[in-house]
Amino acid sequence: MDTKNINLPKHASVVIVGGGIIGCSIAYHLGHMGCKDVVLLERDELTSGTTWHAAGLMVTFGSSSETATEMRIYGRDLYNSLEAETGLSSGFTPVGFIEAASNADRLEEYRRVAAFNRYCGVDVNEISPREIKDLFPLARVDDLLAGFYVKEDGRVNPVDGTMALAKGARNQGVKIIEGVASTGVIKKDGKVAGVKTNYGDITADVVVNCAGMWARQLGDVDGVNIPNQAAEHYYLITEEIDNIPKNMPVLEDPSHYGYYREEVGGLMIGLFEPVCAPWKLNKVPETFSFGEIEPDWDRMGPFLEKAMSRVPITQELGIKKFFCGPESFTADLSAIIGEAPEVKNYFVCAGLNSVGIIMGPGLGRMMAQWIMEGDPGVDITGFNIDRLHTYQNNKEYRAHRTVESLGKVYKCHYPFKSAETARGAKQSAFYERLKDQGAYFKDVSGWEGADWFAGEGQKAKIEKHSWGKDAWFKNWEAEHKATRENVILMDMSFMSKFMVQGRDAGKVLNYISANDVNAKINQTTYTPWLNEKGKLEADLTVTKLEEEKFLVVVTDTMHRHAETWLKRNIPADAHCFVTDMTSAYAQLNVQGPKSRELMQAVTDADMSNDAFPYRHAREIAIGYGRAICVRLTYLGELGYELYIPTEQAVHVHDTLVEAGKELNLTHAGLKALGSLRMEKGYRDYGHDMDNTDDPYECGLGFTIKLDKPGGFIGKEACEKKKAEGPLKRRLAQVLVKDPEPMMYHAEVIIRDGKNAGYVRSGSYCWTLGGAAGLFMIEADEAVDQAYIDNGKWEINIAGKVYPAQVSLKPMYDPQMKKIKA
Amino acid sequence: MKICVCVKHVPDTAATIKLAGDTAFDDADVKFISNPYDEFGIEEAVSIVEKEGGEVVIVTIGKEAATSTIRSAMAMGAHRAIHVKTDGQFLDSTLTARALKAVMEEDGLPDLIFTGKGSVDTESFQTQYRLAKSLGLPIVNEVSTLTLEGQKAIAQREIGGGEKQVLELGLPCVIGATKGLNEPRYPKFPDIMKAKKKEIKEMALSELGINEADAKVTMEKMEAVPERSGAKMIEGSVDDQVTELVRILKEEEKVI
Repeated sequence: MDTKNINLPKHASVVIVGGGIIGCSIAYHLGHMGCKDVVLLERDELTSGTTWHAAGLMVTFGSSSETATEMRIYGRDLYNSLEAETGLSSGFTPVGFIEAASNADRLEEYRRVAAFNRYCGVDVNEISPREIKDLFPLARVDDLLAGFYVKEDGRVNPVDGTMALAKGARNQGVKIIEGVASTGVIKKDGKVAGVKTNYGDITADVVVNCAGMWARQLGDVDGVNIPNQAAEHYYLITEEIDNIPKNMPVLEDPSHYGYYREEVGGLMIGLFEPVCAPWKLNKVPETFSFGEIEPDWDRMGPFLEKAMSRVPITQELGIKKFFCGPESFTADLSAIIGEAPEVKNYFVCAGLNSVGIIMGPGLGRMMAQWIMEGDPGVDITGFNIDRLHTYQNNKEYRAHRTVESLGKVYKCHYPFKSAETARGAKQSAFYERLKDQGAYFKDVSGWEGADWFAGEGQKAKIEKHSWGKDAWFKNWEAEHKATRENVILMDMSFMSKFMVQGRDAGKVLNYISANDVNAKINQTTYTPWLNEKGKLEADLTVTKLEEEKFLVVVTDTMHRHAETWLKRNIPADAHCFVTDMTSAYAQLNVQGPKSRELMQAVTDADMSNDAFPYRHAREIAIGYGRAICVRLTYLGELGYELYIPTEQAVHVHDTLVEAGKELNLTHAGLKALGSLRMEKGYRDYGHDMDNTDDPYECGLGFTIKLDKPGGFIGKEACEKKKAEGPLKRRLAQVLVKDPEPMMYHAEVIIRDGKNAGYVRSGSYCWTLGGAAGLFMIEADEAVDQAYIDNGKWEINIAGKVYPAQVSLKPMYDPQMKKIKA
Repeated sequence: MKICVCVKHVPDTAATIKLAGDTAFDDADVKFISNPYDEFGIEEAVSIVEKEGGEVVIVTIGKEAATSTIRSAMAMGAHRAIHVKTDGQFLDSTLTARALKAVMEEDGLPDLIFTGKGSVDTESFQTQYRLAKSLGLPIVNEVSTLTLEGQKAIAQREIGGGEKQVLELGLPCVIGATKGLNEPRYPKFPDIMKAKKKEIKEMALSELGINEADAKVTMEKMEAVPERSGAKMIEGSVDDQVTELVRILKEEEKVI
């Protein structure tokens, strides 16, 4: 133990590890929210890891996430106001920001994002190349199509901003201690009990790991999975330019990998090169403070040359500094945030992917609320730490995936583009069979998911990405129609499956589930899991296989979240045990009007509607194999889900394919899953619904069994919500009447000329005849059929407004005739 | 005119140095730069050749990684380089001077040699003198102004107290450059890219018949400078504070 004269408190409510922008922001917000007993430990000096070399852009434009955009706006406001509060300026200068679009696809992307960002309150305006030149005279604009300009944006000084937050935190009573490194946590009964440091222990109720690029290493000590990875990040500073134009905004041109801004009379060029280099895969040295990496000119030369061509004068200027410093990145370019599934009260906020300064204030506020109230208050499904799996922490995985991550920041974000690195991590039992069938695979939570199937003489490849209808749309359409009209097979082995067993299993599950999942053996029930506030934690199906045996099936992205929620809500004295069966069962869907005929051809079980009705579930024989067959659909047709022991999966598949020849059975991919479920209005948690929504608003009121004996988690909140009367917020389906435009996410819906919500997820829907999506109507009045009927509905897609149709009921098969056929 | 500039690859003075054993440090995460005083020499050499023609040859005695420093000298305008490779960072100034002499004799003696006034890592301030002596050339160190007139060099150096000394030397000679001589240029991007293609002749120290084990001076121990103790706040009225400050300066720090 070190013996330097450090006065370490014996106890704190919250200990924050890491004194960068994130740690200081959390400390600041905890202090302001009334949590005074907070200690922040910084191993060296505040900002010494990554914050000190951040470029400090403060940009509100560019995200298609409502949560992130709201946080960006809050961040800009806070940086603006810190001086008045603390006496220390964040150095915020509202010089403005321009995103330059240099080709049609970029223009389409930015128009889509701009329409959504305006909805969120960002005053972004499309400007001409001429106007870009006027604002940023040093730029070459002859090849630009447009710019997206936010006048109020600008830049901050990251060190000053952090120091101002730290002072604000101290003013609220937070203790900030520099020169003390945390070496891990003290755990008791699966919970945090304190923090270990090189100067002794501090007992604590909550610890927050904000150790930036060291977060993974620190997490590893306590078995907490935080798979972020440091990577080289570059910027260049030129010598001074005589008579540099005054007040130039920050200019960003992702197609040239660069952002450009004035820096002490010269220019700064920041780079997000398309292929990047991870740094220190084994371990980031503990002593790396205010550290620089030797620049790799050979690797960066070509990227730099392209970046400089946007502002040609930079080639004629001396280069004062070509800086390379590490920043931390994640597998999906989203931050790693929230309470670790492995240890209760162990919070993490790390892996910021170069947006730490922009997001710091908002994340600090959210983390403080989460820690103090147990609820983040915003949609966190996209960046919750529990979406990540331990294999993503493997060195090999980080080495390969990080190469792609940094570059993704500046790529055109095409709607159907899948990760290309670190592929093949998970393959279902059907992988080879699907490949033989011509499957185009995409990354689905690490699984190779068959997205669509190429036909004869066609390559299973997306030759050119776009925002429109590509060549392979015909394949998607055919698979969609085959499901509606005939019968298809669809591999959904990536679904998370848990066996819940024991004498109390039914009782426990029924208390965690809002629906009655314990009523009848051989029955499947769709149910939400709610928290005490009555908000959605997950949605899933529970199949009662035996009196003491239940199969719980959850979507791939919520695997660890649902598992953790389930385990943490099992009373200590209950006889109830959870086993993860995801790898044990392959899942094959047999769906479509002719699916019963096909099933009957391969099994001696009676598949008739009377013997095997909707929601019925039991083990059946198929060829030499046995499978749990559940009559259920996520596609809106008569259909079955088969849970097959992995080692028998291929045999069952082949048996079905052989029998299906007479019926013209085909394979369908996940694109079809997206379009089929969208027509039926089936929700997808994490996309159309999240932790800020309640089941009534989401149209899941039918699953809430307020009168079931024993109650359930969230019941009181549900009763209260019901008593409040008609809903002013409701999830609805929207259909674009024009069959041409495509809808993906974040398109803004307009009612009588006023914004009414935005599309949470969208798809092209052939049966409905156009693009459709699900969106949350946010109104000042009761949202009922009259509200729908009396409004004039429109939708803004990439800046163009189209007539739309809105419905509270599913547009496809609202009476469920197909499903119950 | 042929000018040789001796350039040393040194740890950045801002880098955190972590000692590894008695006589070495862990250089894995330490940023290395060109010795700042040598940069004045590079700039001066390049400016002279730009005006008068000729070539600038960089001579570096240093480990493998010194290539980055050589490339940055070339980006400033040097034409080619000779890199004599050593195993470690530290080589005593006798051997360094012998190596420099051997290289220059083999390559053809230059008309002018620049070194820095000293290196920021070892600060021995000896190499340039030893080199001049061994080549039988005149030397002036800490030169802040230099003019060439035919076969003469007129060098001005600071001698303290604001006084300057002006010296005249015959070429060839050795000039130890220091701050004030010029403002080293920042290389431009196209020059940096061009520098990658310039010739670096590499050789091992042993190829010059020099064995690192023959060093006359060997390092016994390296220690970190003790950290300064924290600031002390003096409390009380202004009079009390002044009295206390004077007492500390006299009795504890013994500086007045």
